[in-house]
Amino acid sequence: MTSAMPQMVDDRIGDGVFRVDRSVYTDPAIFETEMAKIFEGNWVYLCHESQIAKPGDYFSTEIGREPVFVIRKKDGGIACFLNACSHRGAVLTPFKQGNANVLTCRFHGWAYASDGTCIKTKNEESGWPAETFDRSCFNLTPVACVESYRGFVYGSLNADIAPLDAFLGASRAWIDLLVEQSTEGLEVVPGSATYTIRGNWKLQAENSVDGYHVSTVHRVFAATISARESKAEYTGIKKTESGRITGSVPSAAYDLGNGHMAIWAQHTTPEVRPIWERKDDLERRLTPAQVKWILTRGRNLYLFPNMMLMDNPSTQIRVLKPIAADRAEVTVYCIAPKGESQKARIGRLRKFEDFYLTTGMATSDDVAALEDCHDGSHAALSRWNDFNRGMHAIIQGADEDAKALGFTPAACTHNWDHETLFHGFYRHWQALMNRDVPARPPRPGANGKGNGSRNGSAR
Amino acid sequence: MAGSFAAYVDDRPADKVFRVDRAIYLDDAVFAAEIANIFEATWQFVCHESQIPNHGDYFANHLGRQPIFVMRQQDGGIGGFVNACAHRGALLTPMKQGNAKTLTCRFHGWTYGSDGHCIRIKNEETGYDPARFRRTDYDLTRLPRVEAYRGFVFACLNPAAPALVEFLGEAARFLEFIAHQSADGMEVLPGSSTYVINGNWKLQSENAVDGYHVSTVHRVFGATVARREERPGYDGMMRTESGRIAGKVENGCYDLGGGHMVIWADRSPPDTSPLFEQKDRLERDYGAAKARWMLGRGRNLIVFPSLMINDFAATQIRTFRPIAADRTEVTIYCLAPRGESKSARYARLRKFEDFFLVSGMATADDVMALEDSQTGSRGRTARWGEFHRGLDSVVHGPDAAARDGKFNPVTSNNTWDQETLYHGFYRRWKALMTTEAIGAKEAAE
Repeated sequence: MTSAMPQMVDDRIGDGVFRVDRSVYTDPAIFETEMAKIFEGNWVYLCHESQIAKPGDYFSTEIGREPVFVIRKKDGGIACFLNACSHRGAVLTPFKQGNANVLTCRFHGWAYASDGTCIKTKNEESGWPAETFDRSCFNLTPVACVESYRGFVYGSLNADIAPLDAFLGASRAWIDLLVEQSTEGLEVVPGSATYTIRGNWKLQAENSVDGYHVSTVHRVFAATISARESKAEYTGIKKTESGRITGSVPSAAYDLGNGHMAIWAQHTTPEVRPIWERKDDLERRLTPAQVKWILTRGRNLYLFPNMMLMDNPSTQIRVLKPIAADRAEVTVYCIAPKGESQKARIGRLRKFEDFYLTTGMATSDDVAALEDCHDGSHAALSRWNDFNRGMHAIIQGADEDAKALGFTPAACTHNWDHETLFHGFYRHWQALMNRDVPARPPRPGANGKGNGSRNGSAR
Repeated sequence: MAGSFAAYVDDRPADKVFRVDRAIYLDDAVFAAEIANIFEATWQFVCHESQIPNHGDYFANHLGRQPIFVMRQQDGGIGGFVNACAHRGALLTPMKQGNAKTLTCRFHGWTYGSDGHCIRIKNEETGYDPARFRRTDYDLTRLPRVEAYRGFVFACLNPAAPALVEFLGEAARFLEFIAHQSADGMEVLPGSSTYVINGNWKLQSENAVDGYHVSTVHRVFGATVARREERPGYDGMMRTESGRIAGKVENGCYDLGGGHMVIWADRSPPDTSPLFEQKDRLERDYGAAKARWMLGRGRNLIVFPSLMINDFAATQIRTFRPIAADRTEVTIYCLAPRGESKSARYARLRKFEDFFLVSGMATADDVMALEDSQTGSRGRTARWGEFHRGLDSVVHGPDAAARDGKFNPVTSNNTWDQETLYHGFYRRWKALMTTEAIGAKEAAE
């Protein structure tokens, strides 16, 4: 994949202009290039380690257009393979998520161990001459790279990439703010919700760190919650901070580099948050800056290209799977600190349902807004998407807050209404689209075992 | 790309051959070029003026893939705009049709006046450098061209397109035959019905002016209505002219030029028409010949490429929005003379429901026929769609009926069974498909 992309990003900060051609959302040719160069050419988020806790636990997903599964090996390591039988290509995992010490293909019964070794080909003795047959030729194909950062498992089909630590860069400090909430780590709460949007994946990426839309799109949520919470039984952590949604609290927006973005806004009543019960423990273990960020700042983190990590009224992993230029699948998980009190967990889950879940009061409004954007983006006569807001207020590099917490963003502004964080997203996007990636290797034949692999497993 | 579609129309008058490669219904590349060269480059019908009578009334539609809306201005004019917020591109109209003095984007709350000016940006003061910020930079994008002809509102993305009346050419006369049916003008009645066909838009355009299929596809309609009308209570205007459907009346077809086409057939008898109550006025105001065209003859008109206006059993506007090579969205409105009697309106609506409405007895049969054509076109060993019928009887220029009606078609033919009118449609199609389009993308530069 070496085709050069036309320049879709009009990046002239000096002239006060940053805009993006709206055909980036609608053009099927651009989508195909994104698949090859972004999703199949770089790190993408796969799953959380708590979803594959025990040996044999697997989680199946996609890297770009390619089906893969992650599996916990007997030695505790994590492996990731293309999810296709070496024989005739059938998907091997019967479920999205499950446990199997041996994966048996449902088509012809070939079986594989959790380390990808082919351990049985049905009627092997009558199928091949024993003297030349080498069953290891049929081992599963590992993906080029698998690494985990503090429980968040990433994979890449392309070996020619930076290590995961370098890729995550400044966003690691933001991931840490979630991981440090429990000494036992985090767990994805059972259950998930998946829905399809009739819109481009980048509109969902933008939406996840767009502070500016909150007071418009979610005003009905805020009004509904306020009305509900005027009732007597809504006290303590049952309350949601609807004040924050209507704006006028301190906030900021960060371009974290490598396409990662984040916003935060001040909690007006941090004591209603499920994490508040851990205040003393956090203050004992962590730096004052970390405690301040964890307890009093609601945060939305977008990790390029396919994952969102939210810690606002509740905590959430949201995973993006692009399907076509005008179609994306979104899956929502609740993630929570292990060992929190039952009361805190109940508060967290109810607030998760309120805002984040498909049936909640925010997601459907967000989907309506971004689908409106997708439809409107077909208007070629109105070609440019405008990201100029906040350009006068950009702070390059780390501000005082970032220094105190210990991360170095590309830039920030002190208002989550600002859109300059999207500059980082689209600069990274354009750079990847301009970059050549190695062509995907051909499928292994009888005498090949797939592409060269950096490690094929993590830990 | 331009030029490569020329071979799809095999137009050899000297050899008496006119046929069309069925790939034009199937091919994604053809479809993409049609969107660029036809739907986003020539005049397209948007709505009828009666759908936006008051200041702030808007109507949202598409020109090809481009979302647009028209809005009645304070001065009574019609403004046409791209339906996308200047900020991040969200659609601005919450509904297809409505009234709003200001349009507020549902995403970030930016607000526009009915003249397209951006009048509010949420938290404007904290967002931009006051020294260089100009809110007028965020006014809505105006459509290059919006014009109306006798109540029919059209828009065009090509700034260099000819005037609407020039585009309409001889079809303008047929819009007049409709528009003059009431001294108070025509009105689109409330309500509409929309359906999606698994077929190419051109099959729908063909079907609209295909007289030849009527006695086959609609024979069940003819028989059902004839049977029903044997019962008491079906008198006068409540009767449908089932005689016409059986093909026993004088009829004909015209290639009007510019891709526009029309078929006609005598009403039999004319007093079944809801318009019959206005016979004397029409003859007095417009003369017997024009009144005969308005009242005595039923007409199906295609304004190229995809506006269909029927005036047969009832009156109808039907528009087709191309979605994909094999997918078309059709929307149907009933159009009626303002101020007609209650019994005329009642009869018009019942006959509209009978034949035209999606739940009526004709539309479903038409959809079946054209979806069959779409499926059959995939048989690529049988490459050509056949349009030879009537080649021997075609008259170049007007026939007697056209001269009476004071319009000047490219060709006339002696029955509505003939297919020579499609030659004009596909010649126009070929001409547009083999020239470089000036449409949305170019106009944006």
